[in-house]
Amino acid sequence: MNAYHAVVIGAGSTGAAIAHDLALRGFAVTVLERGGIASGTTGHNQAQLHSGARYAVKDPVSARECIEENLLLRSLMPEALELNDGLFIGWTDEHLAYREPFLEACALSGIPAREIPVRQALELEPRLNPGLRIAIQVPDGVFDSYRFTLSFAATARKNGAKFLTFTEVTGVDVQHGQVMVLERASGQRRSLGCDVMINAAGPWAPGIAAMAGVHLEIEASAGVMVTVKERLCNMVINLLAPPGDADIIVPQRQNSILGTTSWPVDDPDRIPVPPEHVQSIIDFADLMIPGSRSAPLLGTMAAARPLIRQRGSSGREVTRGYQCIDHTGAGAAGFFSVVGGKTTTARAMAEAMVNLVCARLGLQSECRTRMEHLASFRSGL
Amino acid sequence: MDRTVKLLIQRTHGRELMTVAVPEEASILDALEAAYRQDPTLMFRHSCHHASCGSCGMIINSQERLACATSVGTASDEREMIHLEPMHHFPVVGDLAVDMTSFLANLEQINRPLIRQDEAEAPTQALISEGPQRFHRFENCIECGLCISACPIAGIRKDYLGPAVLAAAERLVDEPRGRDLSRVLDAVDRPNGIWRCHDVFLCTEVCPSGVHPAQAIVSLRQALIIHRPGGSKDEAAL
Repeated sequence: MNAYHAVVIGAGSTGAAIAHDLALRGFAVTVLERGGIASGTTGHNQAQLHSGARYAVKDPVSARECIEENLLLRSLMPEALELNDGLFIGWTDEHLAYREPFLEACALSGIPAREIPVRQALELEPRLNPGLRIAIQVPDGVFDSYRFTLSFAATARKNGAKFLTFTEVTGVDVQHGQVMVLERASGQRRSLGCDVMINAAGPWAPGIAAMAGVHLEIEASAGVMVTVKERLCNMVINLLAPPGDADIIVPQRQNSILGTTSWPVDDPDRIPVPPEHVQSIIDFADLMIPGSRSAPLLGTMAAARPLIRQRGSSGREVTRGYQCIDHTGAGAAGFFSVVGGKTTTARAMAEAMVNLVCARLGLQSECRTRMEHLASFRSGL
Repeated sequence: MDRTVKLLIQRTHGRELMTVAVPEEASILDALEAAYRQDPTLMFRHSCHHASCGSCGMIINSQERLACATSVGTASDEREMIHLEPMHHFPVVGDLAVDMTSFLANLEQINRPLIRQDEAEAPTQALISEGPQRFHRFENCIECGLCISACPIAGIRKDYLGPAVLAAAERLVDEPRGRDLSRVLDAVDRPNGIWRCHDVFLCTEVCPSGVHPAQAIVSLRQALIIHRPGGSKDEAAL
């Protein structure tokens, strides 16, 4: 144990992974979550364990983070993952023209990618568009975002971390190291003392930062996902093209999640599901896998990605990389934020965040989350 | 065009009527999120919004359902009223959120693998050596607890293992994947286990994930009778 008490705000994949990392390094940890575990952006998830191939051409930093974490998570939480690889598919001249830059970029980022004969691809995935002209296999996977997050939470709890769910942060006093909360069950308000506050609230992070008197900008980019009650494919199906809308089909359990779209939003609590997005997603899925249209609709959802704000780029162009911020320079010593990233890279984000915290506190403490097999998700709730 | 929906919610402190406006195709969960924006003390669990995480099970107009997979249109009665209650047979944490701890501990005791070999014929050629050689997917059961809530026996016997747990044991017996079955058979071959079920079959009726716990219980009984004619103490029969 070290002498520090860290409060983590947000129990999505990032907050849970941070709690796990902190607990392993001897911090006393309390996680505050206004809802249940993984009830925000992490829950509303297309569930793709990225190989990084999607980002390899334009965003190699994020691509490398994805493949590194993808390979690690396979051994850390095998039961939260469906590992059937992914296919990038194409049927137009444009798709074929993307082959070379795509394979080159995958090779540069260390992502195993291999072109397989069209006939073999159709044997593996008989329902693909029969006009298929190219298929490239990559080590994509599928996660269960709830179990993903609970696995980190379970291990953190085993190592002493406390998760206070249904506990909403209503104020932050950085000066005195106090976090004010509202307990939903009792309606009681109280405050918690701590040495370090880590804001991992995803698209809600700017609001938490504002309570601490800190200005934090993100690009909240919403995406719609459509779930159908049919497993349309075995592998994750991606379009062989620069990342765009509606170009991924993720099979999960007995269903498939189609998506997604990308547009800027202001309020992460009020994200509409535009019917035209739903329609375009279904239409494009039907092009990749004919018949997708007739699969029974299970539901639609939308969530905001908490992307890093970059001057001059928006939506699809914004890096999927992450940023850990020490707000000491802004007059908020002990207050930290993490923004950006992917569920796939949650562990790496946590490592970077806790490294930053330890550096600020002058603690010599090595990250151990690369080796630590995670406990059963069932004890994370 | 938004639709006005009246939610009659069984909260910890009593029944409360909340009125929200949601799109026509909204789910009960969307309506609850709208209600939460009116009253941030309202408690309910949710995560995946696509019937995968099993966290939003509740009773909707007297029927065990997942809130995310039930649309406000199908659930409203002629007065546009939707009755919401927490699941039965679980301690209530607050409002619609229940404590799943002992249910999950029972499932953990059975320890059925969470990944199943898929029905797919084609073997894969994994890109990475540790990758799987066959397609596989998560088990059907999402551990939502709806079957426990619907089971009348679970209501009168608190120690009854319940449908999801017995169905998990049956999956393991059906596809052992190298596990030692005697421990699992011991766990279910007891008065609060497989023999407690009264064949009401409501578990299968409410299951949102096609697990058919009632069918599994029947199969597991057959397996036990074949493997253990002398009952649970007759280890030699294995």
